[in-house]
Amino acid sequence: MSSDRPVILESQDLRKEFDGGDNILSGADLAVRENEIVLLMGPNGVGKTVLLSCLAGSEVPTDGTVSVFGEATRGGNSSLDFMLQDSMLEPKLTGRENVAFYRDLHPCFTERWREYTEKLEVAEELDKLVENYSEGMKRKLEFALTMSGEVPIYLLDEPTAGVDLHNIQQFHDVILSQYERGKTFVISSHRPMDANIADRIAFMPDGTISSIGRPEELMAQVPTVVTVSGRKAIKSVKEFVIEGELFPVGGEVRGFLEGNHHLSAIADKIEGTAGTVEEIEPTYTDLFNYYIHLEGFR
Amino acid sequence: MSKQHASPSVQPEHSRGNIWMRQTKAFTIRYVRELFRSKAALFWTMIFPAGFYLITITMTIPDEAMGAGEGGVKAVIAVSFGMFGAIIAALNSFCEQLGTDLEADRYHQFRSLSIAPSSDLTGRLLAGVTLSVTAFLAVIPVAVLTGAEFSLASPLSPAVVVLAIVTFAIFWMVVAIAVTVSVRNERYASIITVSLALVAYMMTGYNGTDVSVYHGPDRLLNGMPHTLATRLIADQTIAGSAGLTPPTVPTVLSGLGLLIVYSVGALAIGIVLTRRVLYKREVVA
Repeated sequence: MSSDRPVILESQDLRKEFDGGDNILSGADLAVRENEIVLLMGPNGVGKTVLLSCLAGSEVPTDGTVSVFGEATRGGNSSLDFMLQDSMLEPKLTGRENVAFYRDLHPCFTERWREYTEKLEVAEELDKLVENYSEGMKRKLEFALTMSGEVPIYLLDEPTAGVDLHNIQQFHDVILSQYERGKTFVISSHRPMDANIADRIAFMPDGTISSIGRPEELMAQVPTVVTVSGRKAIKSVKEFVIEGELFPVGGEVRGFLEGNHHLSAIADKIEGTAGTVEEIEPTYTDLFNYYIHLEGFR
Repeated sequence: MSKQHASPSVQPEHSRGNIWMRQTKAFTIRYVRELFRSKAALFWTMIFPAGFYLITITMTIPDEAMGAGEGGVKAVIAVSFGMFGAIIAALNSFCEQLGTDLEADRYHQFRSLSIAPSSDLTGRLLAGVTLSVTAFLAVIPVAVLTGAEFSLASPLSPAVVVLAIVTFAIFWMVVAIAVTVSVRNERYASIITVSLALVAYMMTGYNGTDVSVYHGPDRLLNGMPHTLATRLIADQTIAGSAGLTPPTVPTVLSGLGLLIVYSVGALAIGIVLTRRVLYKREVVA
């Protein structure tokens, strides 16, 4: 992705307050360039879906602006397709009837749904009522329907949630095939493996975007990651890591070393316990933990 | 590799009118399928009115009330229960469907698409009218089989019946939209609308078909949408309709005229609610 491409989707100082005074978005700025994949990462409840909804025109922001192709927009926009988890499909219709519904509803719907439903292994289930689908099957059909619209911009709300690992790769293939045709994506996700296809990752720890950048740039700024095992060792390590925060990952915990500490100091400290400590290369999970739980609140 | 950078241009076959027609078709088919696949909707709109008609004619109407005009009495009862089913179809089924869509955030999805809100409203109304007409007609064969006698006042009577049901159903469907967008909960909306239908039915002498049990001002029977439509239909389909007077049933022209005024007013409110509340757009784009 080249940074000289024009910005085609932009939110400025976007704020959204719901009835009861809940401030979900508190000044979210996001500029998406043509033909890039931006991954929106953050924990539950921080407003990722609301931000996508405002960009898509399905929520009216309390304040701030959204522009698509340089024009301020409000309401539905024929330049983008929005996949909102669990909201697309009507359970009392079959998969095929849902396809027919969106085919008539969407002015730029294509026949790509046939290829996608085959690829995602949901084609044989199309004559069943959607109320009998598993969560993964619903997600596949929602994704196939969304990607069948011929538009320049796709907004995908957690498209891979509830999808098995094999199918996540299929989802990525579909996204990348459209990306190669010049399409633009904003995708919210909890899945670290979705970062593999991102040009840029935007972190949303609260109602704003705290950090955004290319994965390798963001990764380069992550402090030394240490992994620790052993109960006594874990207790001892807290004073060496940023904010004293340790993050469980699998059967171990990980932390980010404070700049003025060295691994050897920790090793000395935990000597005599049954625990171990070692430095590891940061993963996307570490990236998430650092930018969401530490950097995002500094 | 060539890349597409601009937003898609509108194809000739994608003219506004064509898109509106396709979207209206999409919504109509979807809502008709949903309504006719809902066991609850079918029970309350068809089985319940027909069942209550049978219970009424076999258990609660004394033999002396029947007498020589038995066929006419049964027909009036059938029309009143048929219209009760039509009210339930317009009110309850409609609001259940809309309430479910609101709870499932489907309007978040719809708002993101370039949808004409009027195509959604039209689709819902067409589906609701279809169920209302079916609900009314479902009682008629049961009534005929049990001895009810119908006779058309004129060759235009079937058209009058259909028009009366359509205009009356539009009124009640817009009431359903208002209730549903106010409570935003399918279950509460359902309880409120069923109660509304029952109260409207019971308090107005079974939709204005038995004035002996109605205690309000007579003129209201020819003024309220559900009683006016029911009385007009009974007058058009049953010779010497027992129990309808006083007051005298209005003429077809004045009766239908008033129902059309109600439905046009309701439609205007329905369009405003659909645009402003469901699609969050200005009333005039």
